[in-house]
Amino acid sequence: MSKTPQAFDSLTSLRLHGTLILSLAPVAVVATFSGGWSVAFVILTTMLVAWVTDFLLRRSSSLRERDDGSSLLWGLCLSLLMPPAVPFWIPWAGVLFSLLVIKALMGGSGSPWLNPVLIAWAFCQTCWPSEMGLGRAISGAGSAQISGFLLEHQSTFDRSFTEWLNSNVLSWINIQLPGGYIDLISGLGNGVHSWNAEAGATLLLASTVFLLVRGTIPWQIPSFFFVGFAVPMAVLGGLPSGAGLFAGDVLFQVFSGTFLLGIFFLATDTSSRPLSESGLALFGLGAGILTFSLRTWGAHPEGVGYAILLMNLLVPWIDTALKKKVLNDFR
Amino acid sequence: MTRNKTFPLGGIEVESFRHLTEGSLIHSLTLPSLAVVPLVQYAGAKARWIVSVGDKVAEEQVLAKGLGPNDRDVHSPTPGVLQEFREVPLAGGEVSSAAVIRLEGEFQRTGKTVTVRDWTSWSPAQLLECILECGVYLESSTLDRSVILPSPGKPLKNLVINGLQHEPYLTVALTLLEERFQDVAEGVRILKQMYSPERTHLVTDSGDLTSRLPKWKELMEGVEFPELEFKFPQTQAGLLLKTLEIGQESLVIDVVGVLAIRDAVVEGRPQIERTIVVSGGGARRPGVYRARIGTPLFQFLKNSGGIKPQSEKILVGGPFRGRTVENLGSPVVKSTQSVLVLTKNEVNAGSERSCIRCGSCVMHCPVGLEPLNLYKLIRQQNLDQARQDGLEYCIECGICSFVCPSRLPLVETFQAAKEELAHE
Repeated sequence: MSKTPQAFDSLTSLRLHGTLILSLAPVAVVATFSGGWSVAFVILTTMLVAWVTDFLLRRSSSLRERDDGSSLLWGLCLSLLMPPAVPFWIPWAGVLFSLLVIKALMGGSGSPWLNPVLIAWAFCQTCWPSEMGLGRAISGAGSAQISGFLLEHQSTFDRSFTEWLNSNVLSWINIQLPGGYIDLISGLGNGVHSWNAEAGATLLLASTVFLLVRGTIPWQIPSFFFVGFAVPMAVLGGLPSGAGLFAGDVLFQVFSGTFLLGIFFLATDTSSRPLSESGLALFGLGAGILTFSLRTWGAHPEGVGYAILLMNLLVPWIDTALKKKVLNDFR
Repeated sequence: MTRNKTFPLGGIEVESFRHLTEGSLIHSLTLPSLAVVPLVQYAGAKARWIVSVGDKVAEEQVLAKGLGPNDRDVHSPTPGVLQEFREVPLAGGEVSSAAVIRLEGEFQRTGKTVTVRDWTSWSPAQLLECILECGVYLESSTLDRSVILPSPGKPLKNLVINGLQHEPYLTVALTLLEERFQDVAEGVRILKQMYSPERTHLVTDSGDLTSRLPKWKELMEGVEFPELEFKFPQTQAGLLLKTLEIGQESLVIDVVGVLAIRDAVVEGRPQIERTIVVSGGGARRPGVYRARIGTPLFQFLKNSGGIKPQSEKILVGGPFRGRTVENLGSPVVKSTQSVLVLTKNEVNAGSERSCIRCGSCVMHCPVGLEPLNLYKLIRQQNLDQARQDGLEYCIECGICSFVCPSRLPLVETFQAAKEELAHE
């Protein structure tokens, strides 16, 4: 006689992916506001291409699984990793590669142990480096090289808000915020963002508070990722530009590029993260340190994606090494 | 505030739904005019009828004898005439032979004054015999086996009285501790006389022990009162002993069982009724009720207030380990601890999807297994590897299936595979 649970937790895969899509929706709106209607076109069509491909894949192959909304989430994440001016067919190609090669061959959602979004992103970067904005970012100078977003293009809103902050709030703790940061963080300035996700950083941060409180994404990955990145960045980040120790610009580093999207949405992808709590922490810490290293010394300005992919490679090892001991000494 | 004790790995903190039955007094329900008494009163019970159709039976008369030394007798819940034997479905789907008794004639006990026996001079063996004669079924939180009282004589290190809430909604133990604490204390004294344990523990998780402790300490001398977190499956006997950090060879008895023992010894009353909690969003009058064994569930539910139209599922037992009632003609039996009427929002059913490898089952498994990998292995017919990965230590608590966002039938698959392994 088999018995089953008679009731279930309210979270389902469909609801999980739906929640993540909804929390990224405001970011997509701000990215459109900042980069123009072409951004909205890229986002919506990439999601559509992903869903249709996934639908046909599920119909035609032996996978025979019900839709859990993951393809829409992957399409959205990938389009947010694109520069605002990307030709629309590049993310489409990325999505097709990720779904038709990685997902189909590995056996359905949950099976690929490399992040499907980042695989697509790496594919696009390798095939079309200049369209993906690499050339411009690498040729940039100083702290702006990750982003291409220039702090010097300060808006009037930024100027007045920074002034107000400095005289009314930050003066108490004896800190002065240089100009340009409010533009960067709010996504509202004149500067051109290098990546769609960068524009909506503040809203992205706001929706993750909700996700973390609800337990939709595990808290271990973002927090350890942040520590692994921010601590060495604060201490050593100033070395390449000759500013010396303890001169790293953590604020700029965190809000530029796709760092926030990476630690909250990409690194927490269910199929490519470790299983145990300690595994999640180790994974986050490792990805954080790698991101710091790639950004500071690497040839590649935006280290987040590759850092997560490299840590993905270690997940099978992390899962074996940190396997819990089975309690076998009781009835 | 110090955190209460709990078991080392996994588990899940869920809503207890205590507020639904809070402050409820125990109501006795009307006797069934036709009592349907199944032979199988709990999983694995084996017994044979010793009465035949047409017999006049007295209240509390033995209807069926347990086959083995550990099988319990079944007593008649009402006086009357044995009208027929009938096959009845039990909650969960098994079918058992049942005696149908039409209520008539005189009651031996109901309505009479209670006579109390002095048991203090009885030997442990006499006490045990009296308990067995009364057909006392002691439920266990361990894989549906009933607790078997050991024969007295061997010194017992630890006696543990389990006053914990087994699962969400199941507040019988809480209510009994509130209403019948003196009787519980007497039951504990009986058990102490039988087994002379070195230490006795009464474990609770009600969260407001301090207000009760003075009274409890006065009525139960030499008993320890550890308080646990409400975190499922903290009542599983093995985990409970781990939490208390005492040896696994301890005797764990539920508060319900202690009271049945007390009623058997003090009043000579066989187990013919049951304290049952009715709860869930679909129950009109959630509360704790006392009903005779053999009361058909439709009558039981009607007498306990009825159900709301938006009810989705009726089950006996808790949401994790309970069983769906498929036929409301199923009667109340000795192992019926609750009847839950759940609404759609409480059930949260969903269709099966692919594993997204979220790791929720791994984080919540109280044994430290990796349910998603075991599931994959069993699906690939690789039972040997599943065994090496600890399949046989699965306690079938059902948390993995409960939390799985893709609604994979995890615990069901493990049960089937364990059975297959056991037959090899």
